[in-house]
Amino acid sequence: MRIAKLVAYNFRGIRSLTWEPGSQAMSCIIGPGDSAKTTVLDAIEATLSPRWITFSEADFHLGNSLNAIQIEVTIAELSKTLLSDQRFGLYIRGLADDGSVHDEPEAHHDPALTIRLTVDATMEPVWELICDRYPAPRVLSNRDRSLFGVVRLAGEEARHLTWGQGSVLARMTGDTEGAANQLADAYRVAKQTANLSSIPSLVDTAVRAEELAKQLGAYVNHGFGPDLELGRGGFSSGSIALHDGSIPLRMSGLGTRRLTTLAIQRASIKEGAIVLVDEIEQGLEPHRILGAVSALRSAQDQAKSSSAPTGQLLITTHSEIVLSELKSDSLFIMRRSVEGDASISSVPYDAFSRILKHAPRALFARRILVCEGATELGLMLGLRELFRTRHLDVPVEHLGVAIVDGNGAAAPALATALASLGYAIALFRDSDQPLKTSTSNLLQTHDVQVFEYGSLLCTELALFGACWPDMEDKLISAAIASLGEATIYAQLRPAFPGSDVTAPTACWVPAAPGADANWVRLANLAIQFKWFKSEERGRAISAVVDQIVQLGQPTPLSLCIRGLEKWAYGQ
Amino acid sequence: MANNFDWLMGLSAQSVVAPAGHGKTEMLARAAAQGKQTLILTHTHAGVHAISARARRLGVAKDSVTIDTIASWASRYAYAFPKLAGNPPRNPKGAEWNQVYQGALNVLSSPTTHRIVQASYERIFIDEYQDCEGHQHAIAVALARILPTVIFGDPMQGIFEFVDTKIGWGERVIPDFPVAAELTEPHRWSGSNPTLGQWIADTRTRLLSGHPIDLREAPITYLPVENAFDMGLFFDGFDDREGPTAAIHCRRKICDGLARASRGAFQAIEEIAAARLIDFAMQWDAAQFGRQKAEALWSLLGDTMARNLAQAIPPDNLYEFDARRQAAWDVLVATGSAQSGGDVIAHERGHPLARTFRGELLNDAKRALIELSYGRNESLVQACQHARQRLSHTGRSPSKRVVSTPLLLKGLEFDHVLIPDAAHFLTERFACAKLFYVAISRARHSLTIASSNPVLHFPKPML
Repeated sequence: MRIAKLVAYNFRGIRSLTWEPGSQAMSCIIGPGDSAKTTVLDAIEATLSPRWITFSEADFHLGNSLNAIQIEVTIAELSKTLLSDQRFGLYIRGLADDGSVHDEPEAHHDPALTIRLTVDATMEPVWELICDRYPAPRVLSNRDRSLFGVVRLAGEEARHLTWGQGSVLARMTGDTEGAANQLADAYRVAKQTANLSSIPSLVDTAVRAEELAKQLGAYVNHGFGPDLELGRGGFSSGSIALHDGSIPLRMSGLGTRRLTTLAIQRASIKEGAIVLVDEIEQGLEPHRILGAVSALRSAQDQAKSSSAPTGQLLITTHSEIVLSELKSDSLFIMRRSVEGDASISSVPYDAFSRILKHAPRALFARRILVCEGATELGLMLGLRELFRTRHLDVPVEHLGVAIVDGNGAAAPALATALASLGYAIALFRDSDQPLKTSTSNLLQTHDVQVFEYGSLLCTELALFGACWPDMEDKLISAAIASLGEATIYAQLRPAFPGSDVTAPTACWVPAAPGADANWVRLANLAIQFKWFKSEERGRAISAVVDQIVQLGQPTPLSLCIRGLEKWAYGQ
Repeated sequence: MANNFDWLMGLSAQSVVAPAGHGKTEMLARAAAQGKQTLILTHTHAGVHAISARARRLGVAKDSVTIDTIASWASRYAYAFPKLAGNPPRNPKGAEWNQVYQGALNVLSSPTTHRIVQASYERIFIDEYQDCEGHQHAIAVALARILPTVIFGDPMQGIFEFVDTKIGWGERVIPDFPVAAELTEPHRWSGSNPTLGQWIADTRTRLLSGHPIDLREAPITYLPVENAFDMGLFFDGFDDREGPTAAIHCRRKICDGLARASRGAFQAIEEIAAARLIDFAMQWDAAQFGRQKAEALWSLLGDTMARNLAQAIPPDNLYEFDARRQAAWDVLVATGSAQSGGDVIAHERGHPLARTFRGELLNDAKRALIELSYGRNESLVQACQHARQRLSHTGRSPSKRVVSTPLLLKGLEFDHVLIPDAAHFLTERFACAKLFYVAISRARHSLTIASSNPVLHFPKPML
């Protein structure tokens, strides 16, 4: 099964959303926090999973239950059972190659089903199959919905690590023969002997669970087996829990727990499950994230090559490590307007590779400041700490701003690529090399705000041009701090003959008429000897820069920096 | 063969010839039980009932077999994809069915539908194929291209020759579904009367080759008579016959007459469309005054029951019955209400000197009048149609003794079968040998044939 289209109205933070995930087996939704990514998974789960879900006012957009919740999910790659005319074969619709859904399928269409969940002010959820060809929609029972094969891996689901009622392990045990009977037998035997390792069906299931969990990278210490874990509520089939050695699996690490649950959930669905995973990286070290994602992907590739149903994996993530394992067509960026109108858009290939190479982190922000070079980056990283003192101690990151390295000449293209994905972008660059007209036009059409000093000024010139002599001293001491006293003085002496370069610059011999002013010569030295040309050195002068800007003269530098501050705080 | 149906599971686009009583229904149900998902199609609701009942008795898992009529199965698919099917008419009547079948054919030609059918079933059996019409055959052929399809039928029971669209067995069926096997064991009689079973099977062979049948040599009761209305056939040994009994004559009018002559001891049964009932309903609906309704009902009663029969010792309180009956009529004439119509029927039937011989018709009329009086239907015609529709879905309630035609009794079994003047079969225009075969093969324990001619020589049947 595979979700081909999702349309949601008035569900939690989403007033409206339409998404077509495409036909690839894995889709990853990213986006800034609070962009309702989890709500998308919740919407799919609420519509397709067999669980009865209790709704309350809080589940309606803005808590207004007058506007009914309506979620429509169209699924393709239907299992044989779904296609049967005893089930929904006569309710199928057609999914065209372009992703459009037609009520009556034509010969070249892929069979699909549209399921609609509606909840109105009565809070009574109704699941129906939409098919305009019948006068009344077909209402779906929870047994019907279990055929859609949806598995949700969310937070703490300890019940899936036991053989309790409705648990995946119980289902897996029944895979082979007579589900309920086996479990009832197990329960009886367990009660008498408490020797669960003598029940082959449970042991087999546990061994299989172990194998599956290992495939996804769960750590297994002693080997899985069934054992009793008596808790409150007395003895029930739920007391038979999966153990690693003698330790209940629910006591193991979050990552292992999640991977094990995911593995056994996937295995419980024969024909192409739809797996929903919220923040797949939870509880996992970077290398295990990589392992888990690539295991999931290769399982799908394997299914594909053996022409078995691949199913679909829908994940959300906040980890750039996950991104590195993805192909561009698997990545979707979610946005949501203040009014709650959400959109999920795919990422074009070239933009994706560019961003992934230079600034994968930026994809998780709302607004991105692309800094052209190391100096700008360092400067901004330093400045942002000083900005917060003037803004109620709110760091720019809290406002969803990410500051990323544009890697010099690549910066404008990166800014354009990010802007094309719908992010608010600013580009901070020095002006020694003017932008090509074509580039600046491109930036303009993408609404990229460019901050520069103007008049062909590079950072050093802009900096020294804005300085009073005492500030020049501070810049020189910053240079000394990073490059060493001897080096800097050796560089200064030839340029300022007759001056005691160890003294404050105010005491230096002023430049002769016709020659470059002292500050110009200082700037040129700074350029020549790369005083500030690294992230670290840029960061070191940020305090001085801030001071210069705060002193208030309207210089190109202060105009530029003030502009950046305003942009960062969204003023 | 008993329980091993591997030979059957291996067939595809082939036919199995199954003479009456040769265990076909049993085989269908058992074979379906072996498969995971079997679709069994047949032609009539009665056929669906027969197979479902057998499957239930054998404990076949309900979700492993789907039993339906070709018409209803085809219309499900046609209405499920109306655009592809060319918007077939809803609630089709008569020739409109052709559009439904054509629509279903269009739907079945789509690759998407192939996937649905293949996802739904493993194999398809089609029963009673001798009754197949052109469009239904086309659907069978289309299905045979999608899944292994085996058809079952007996050309000797193909008695609908008078229907134009009926297809010839040899000419149309065999080319598409070559014969794979013919059932040879007369199971129906193995526990009751094996000699009779063998004679019926032999008679089938003789009829097929056009040989004469000598009734005097048969293991049956032969009764020389002058004509069909020799009631000796009906009442000789009346009390010895236990279990359901049927008298079979090809002519409806004569059946009704025989039922009347038997004073209701044998009940005539009605065709599904029940023309006489609908006639009455139309008269009732058209009537403006209570008197006209009363006349319509009076005429119906005349065709369905005998009133004021002479009886040696009439009951003492006869006067009371007469008075109440008259009172009911008075109300009907005065009000013309449906409820009073129902009351009249109740009082007429309850009268000690009355005998109903078309009880099915009268019951339906009464029920329809009551439904109408409760306002569940707009007209009596509609109410009657609903009553008949119900019947076609649920089947007739069993009655101990019936007199009817081979057409209405085909597919049913009776412990005892009576044939009033078998010579009349010879005068039938269509399918006379087949009609005779269908008639005699209904008998399970005993067969009594009255005939004005001890030797019956039928022309060779058209197959």
